[in-house]
Amino acid sequence: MRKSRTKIYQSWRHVLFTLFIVILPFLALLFFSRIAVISNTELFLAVLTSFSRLIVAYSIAVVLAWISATLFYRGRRAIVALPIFDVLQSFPTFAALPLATYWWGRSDLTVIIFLVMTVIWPIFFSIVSSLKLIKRDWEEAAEIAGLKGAGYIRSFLWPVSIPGLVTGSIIGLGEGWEALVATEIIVGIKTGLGNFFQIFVDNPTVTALGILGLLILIFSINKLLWLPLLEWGHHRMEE
Amino acid sequence: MNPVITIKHIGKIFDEELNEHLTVLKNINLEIGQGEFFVFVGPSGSGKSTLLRIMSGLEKDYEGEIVLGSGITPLDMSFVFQQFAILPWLTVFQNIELPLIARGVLVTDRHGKVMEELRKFRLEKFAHSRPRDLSGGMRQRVGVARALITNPKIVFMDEPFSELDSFTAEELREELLALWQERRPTIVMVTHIIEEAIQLADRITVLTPRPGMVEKVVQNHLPRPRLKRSEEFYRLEDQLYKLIRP
Repeated sequence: MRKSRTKIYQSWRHVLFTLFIVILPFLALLFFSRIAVISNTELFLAVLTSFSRLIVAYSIAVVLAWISATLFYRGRRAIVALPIFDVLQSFPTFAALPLATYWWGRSDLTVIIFLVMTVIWPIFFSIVSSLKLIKRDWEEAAEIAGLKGAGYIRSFLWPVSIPGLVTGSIIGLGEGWEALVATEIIVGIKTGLGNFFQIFVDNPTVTALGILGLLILIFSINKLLWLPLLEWGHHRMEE
Repeated sequence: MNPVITIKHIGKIFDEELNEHLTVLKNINLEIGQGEFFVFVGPSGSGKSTLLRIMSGLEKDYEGEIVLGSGITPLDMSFVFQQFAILPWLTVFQNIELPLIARGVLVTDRHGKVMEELRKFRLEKFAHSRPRDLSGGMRQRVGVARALITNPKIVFMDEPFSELDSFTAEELREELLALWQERRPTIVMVTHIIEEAIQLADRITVLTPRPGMVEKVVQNHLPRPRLKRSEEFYRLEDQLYKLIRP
């Protein structure tokens, strides 16, 4: 039995390293607030606000991407829809940002809509590629077993789509962090990390440290969440 | 004979590139009775597996008609695949449980039924293992257990033992025979191993080379258990060889 590969924590050293990764972003934020002479509360609130926007946008994107991918990954619908989605994902969303700000104002809604438009495509196409790898045997085994509706989704479609969902989430959120700060700055919303970078636009040291802090946070989330999920998701599909 | 499945004028044409068509099955007519062990043999490319897929409902594009016996629905049929088709993300227990979930069996009843089937197929120790941790023989045990858990009226088997070593295949054949004699489903099997066909079948249908048509339906009257080294066994084997390779 190959159990060891599925264990996330292989040793005490691994546990300590994980704890360090959890603490690291907080240390980075404290250090940043000291250098930039900003109150800790203000900084944590800014990070939390931006992070919440990303989480909301990511959740919406996952639901939409998963539904669209399962509807359009094969058959005639795929022949028609996939080229359209490919064109849509290439659309330069930032070009429409001023117009969106004009319509919806300097609001959370504007930022979240633009984040959804950025994050959704890698998730959608990764899920589609996972679903396209479904073997005919598996599909027929499900069909002959009589799986339909909710049972088919829960026992078949959902597990098969997980590796794509995880891979797409890693890529999508990577792009999402970038788009998050940029959108906040362009929209000119007065809360969140974008606003902080805007305030310290004339201070390259603080800006550089801020970016470093953000990278540490992203790294920690990847190491703690996405990479174990990626390993787990692919491992359970091994035959 | 009380037929559980009747096939009428079955034909299958595959569309190849550049408007070329490949006829793999032509005008096949058969009746298969309740509780019968029915085996198709034939040369490679005679459309045996395609015919089985048509009969089971997996292949939907064909000519002719499939008539199921009275009271039989697609949920009364199951299939054992050549390459096992065990879903890798599910445990052995969950794979066997799958048809019961599809039929809306309650969790408590499901658990008991799966445990019973696991015991019957000597898989209890592997209930929570993933298919990747099992040998080929064990995987096919899971495949057969999954196919039989709902007590189906018809079980289709597409060369179920061809991927296994000869000892494991022999062991599984004997287990299958014992289960068939106990539960009496109709089994429709495809094989390219003539010895296997004689060992298992009540009737053996020989298909012609492409396009596959019925060459002959041979009644297997050898008494069970069948002795592979008996004169009658060899005689039947010779007869079938001559039909397949004239």
